[in-house]
Amino acid sequence: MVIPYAIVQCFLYWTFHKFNLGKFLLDIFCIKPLYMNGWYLSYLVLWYILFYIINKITFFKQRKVRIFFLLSIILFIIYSIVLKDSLRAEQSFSFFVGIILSEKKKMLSDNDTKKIFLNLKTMTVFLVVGIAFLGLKQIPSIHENTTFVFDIVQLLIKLPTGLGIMELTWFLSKKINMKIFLYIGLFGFELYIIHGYILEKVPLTLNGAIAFMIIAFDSAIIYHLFVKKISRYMKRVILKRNI
Amino acid sequence: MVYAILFAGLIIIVGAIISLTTTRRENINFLDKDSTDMMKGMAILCVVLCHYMGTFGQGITVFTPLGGIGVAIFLILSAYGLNESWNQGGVRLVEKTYYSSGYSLCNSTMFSILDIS
Repeated sequence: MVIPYAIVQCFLYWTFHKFNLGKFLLDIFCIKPLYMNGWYLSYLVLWYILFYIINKITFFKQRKVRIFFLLSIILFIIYSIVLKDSLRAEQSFSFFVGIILSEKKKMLSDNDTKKIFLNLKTMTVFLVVGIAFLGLKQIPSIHENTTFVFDIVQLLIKLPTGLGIMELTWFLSKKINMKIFLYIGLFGFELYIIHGYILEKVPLTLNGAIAFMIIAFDSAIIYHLFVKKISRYMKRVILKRNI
Repeated sequence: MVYAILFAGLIIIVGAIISLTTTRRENINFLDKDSTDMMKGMAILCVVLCHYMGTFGQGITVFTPLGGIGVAIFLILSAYGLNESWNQGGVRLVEKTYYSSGYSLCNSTMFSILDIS
């Protein structure tokens, strides 16, 4: 995650920003990314570091799910109340849900549990909850209230709808050929770190929109292949050192 | 709205071509490698569509929540993948290698992160 972003920034930093060594280093290590959509990268790095610490301390590791739940609550409060950062606050429980899905994987593969959690009804409930809160958000008193309540509503839009879309994708993949999403998913991270820059440079016309789609997707594919080659080379080096 | 139709149209056309030229895998399990890649694909399209319509949409805000939804999916899948790798020893193998070859803690953590994503 860090390396693909750092490579992009080493090339594009000069075009979009004035050079400052400190800011550049903070940027390429995803501590304070300068990329317009870079907040997600620093947020993910924070979660990765927390994950590493939790797994290194036996006491925390044995209570992983509970600790992550507690951390999610703490981060939500910090981002929502102290830092007033809705973008991060609304995602506070997403990482925790991923940990639960992994920890309870065996339970999910059990047929009885599968019937309860992985069915069209559950998917519909997730989507309906998300859309209902989206409707609730339109109420002026909530929409204009950019604090705690607003962030809870935002969280209850994003997380259930996200889970609903995940289930929907899985259901559809059982019925129709969804290989396009699989291919896009493979170069998804590269597309994420590139598309913002391209969007900033294209003209706001129909031709610009077409150019954006062609350039963004093509360059993300090429960059993905390049990163793959580098990571293969690095893995080889690591393995050699290990021998 | 023309821009949204253009975006969806392109995805549908390319998707149709790909689905006609490839075969569908049977028995895809929830959260196996293929299904998580598909979910990631769906997530990034949500994010890109949100930013694309934010730029070209001339004030249309109906696609705005898609960005956050895409990010939520990404975070869920990142946590899932990271925890699975950790439980299978993937992260620790890279970490161990770097410790044994004298690299700093900072380096080993960074490469553990790289290995997962």
